[in-house]
Amino acid sequence: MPIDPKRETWKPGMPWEKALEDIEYITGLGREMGGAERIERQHKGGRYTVRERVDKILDSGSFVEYGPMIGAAEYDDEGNLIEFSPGAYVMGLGEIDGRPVAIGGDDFTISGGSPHNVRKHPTDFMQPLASQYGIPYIQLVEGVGHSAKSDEAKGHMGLPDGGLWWRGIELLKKVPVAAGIMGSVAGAPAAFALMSHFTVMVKEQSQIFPSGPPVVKRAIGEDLDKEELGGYKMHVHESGQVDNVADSEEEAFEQIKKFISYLPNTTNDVAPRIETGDPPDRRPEELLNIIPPNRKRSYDPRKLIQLVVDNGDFFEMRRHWAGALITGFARLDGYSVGVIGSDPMFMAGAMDGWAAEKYAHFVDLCDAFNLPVVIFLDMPGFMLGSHSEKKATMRRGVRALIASAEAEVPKIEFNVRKAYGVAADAAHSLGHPNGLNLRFGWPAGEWGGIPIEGGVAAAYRREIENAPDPEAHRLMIEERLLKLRSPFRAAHKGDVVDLIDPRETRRLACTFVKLAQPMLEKLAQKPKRIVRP
Amino acid sequence: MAEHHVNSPMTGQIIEISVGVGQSVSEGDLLIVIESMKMENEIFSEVNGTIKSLNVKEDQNVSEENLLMTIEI
Repeated sequence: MPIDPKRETWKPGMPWEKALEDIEYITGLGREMGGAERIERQHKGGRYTVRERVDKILDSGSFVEYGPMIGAAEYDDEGNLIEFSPGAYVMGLGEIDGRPVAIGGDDFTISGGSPHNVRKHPTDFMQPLASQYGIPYIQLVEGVGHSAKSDEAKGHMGLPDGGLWWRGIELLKKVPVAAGIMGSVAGAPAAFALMSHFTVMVKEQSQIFPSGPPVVKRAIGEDLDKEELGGYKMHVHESGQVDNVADSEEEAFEQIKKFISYLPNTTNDVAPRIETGDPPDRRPEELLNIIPPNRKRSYDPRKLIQLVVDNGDFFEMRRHWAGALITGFARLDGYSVGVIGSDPMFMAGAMDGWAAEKYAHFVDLCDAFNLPVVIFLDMPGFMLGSHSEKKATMRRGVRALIASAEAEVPKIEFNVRKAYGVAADAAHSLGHPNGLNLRFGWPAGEWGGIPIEGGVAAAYRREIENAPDPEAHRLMIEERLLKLRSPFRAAHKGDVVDLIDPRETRRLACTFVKLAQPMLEKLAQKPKRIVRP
Repeated sequence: MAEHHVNSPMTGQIIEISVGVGQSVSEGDLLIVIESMKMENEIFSEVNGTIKSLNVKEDQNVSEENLLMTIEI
């Protein structure tokens, strides 16, 4: 229903009933967003409007809108409303599975989500509210940021002052922030989206970049379409800029809800325990033979994780980037945990620069939100070779190592197979006050400073070269050292708490997480660092 | 007909090629095994199609991103 310029608008002195009618009328105008034609265009593009998105993500009927009357309003001389255009943002409080959240999203049907003649912005309203109430913040981003037209309207070009960001930065320190990248996103909205603890984009519907194709072509002559430039293949698979991809908007909403379900409301709380009905003493029989006897052969590491965690429910973050390392969330005996694993099917599980960065970020995230960390390690060391060198693997590996040492949350590790060199140290930090103290070995466990094959070739080089039959001599030394690789020998020295039956992994992990709870309560009270995306 | 490129996800040595030119493959079929970091890394097809070209031989060393084969889809 378009505005009726002949309608008399309530003025002070008129009956309250008339005031209520007019509030309802103006709010109704706001709900029409950018108008039927723009809404139809949004739907034709396969996308929901921001109001539909908010409805789909929140528990039914829980949305309390903030500022539905905010908009550009024009009154005539008699004081009657003759024009109204709602602000290009929809926001409010609501609930997800009964837990409170703050939510906001760009209204792309109005000025393409760009701020227009009225300021209605999350930095003024929702970010402070989420911070004050100590509740998770969800942003549904679809906008292209600064418009050159607004400079013309203002008559000057403003010097960027960073004033837009500090509330979002503060928020990262306090509450979980999750972003859905819902369409083409550029400029400031892109930065808002990425200023999050979790980001998800929709396959072939979302793109994200500082500037889109026309600006890129003008600046550097590169002629790419928006999907090539900033679609999921670029940013979820290749650059790692965005954490996850979803096949549909609905799936993106589910991922956001799932992510939040594992986290506490603030960095000063402990995540809620949820009854999962999976007995902590369940013995997953398949774990016994999951590691193949041939150590050159792989196994499905996700299956291993799923067999251990409650009901096989594992929510993975950054699945498609830095594949040698697996990071995600799960529950053990109903308690929320961060899970780190190796993927022997990708680069043998070796840590390259990207895997190290993924490691450091995830450990920081768990530390900020007081989540215990469960590690399933099968790491042959740092990835070697020139490609890995180009990723500054060793420096990033050192960052991972420091992140581990700084993280005060309790960690438990199952050495399911390999743990070699400095890369494996990243998971350990033994002896450090925050270090890992609970290390269990599986019978397939093998570890050391360097794997025997490479280690022998390097350390015994001269001896091998001078032997009458160098190849036979090398094999002889390797054979000698191979006996040392038995995890039994390390267990005698106390390198592990114990060598365990793999089927006991779940029971031990559940026990650990339960025992860690009082410690988590205390850690939650400490001041937290910002987790930089 | 589109062409799908299979690039090496890692640096290593080709130890087994499990398909031949002209052979049809389905998503999930084993294409090639690369030894890297003392592990046999199996590369599976991500698409359904027909092997159009094989760009590597057994025992050959490959770098990350090297073209291994093309599949017509």
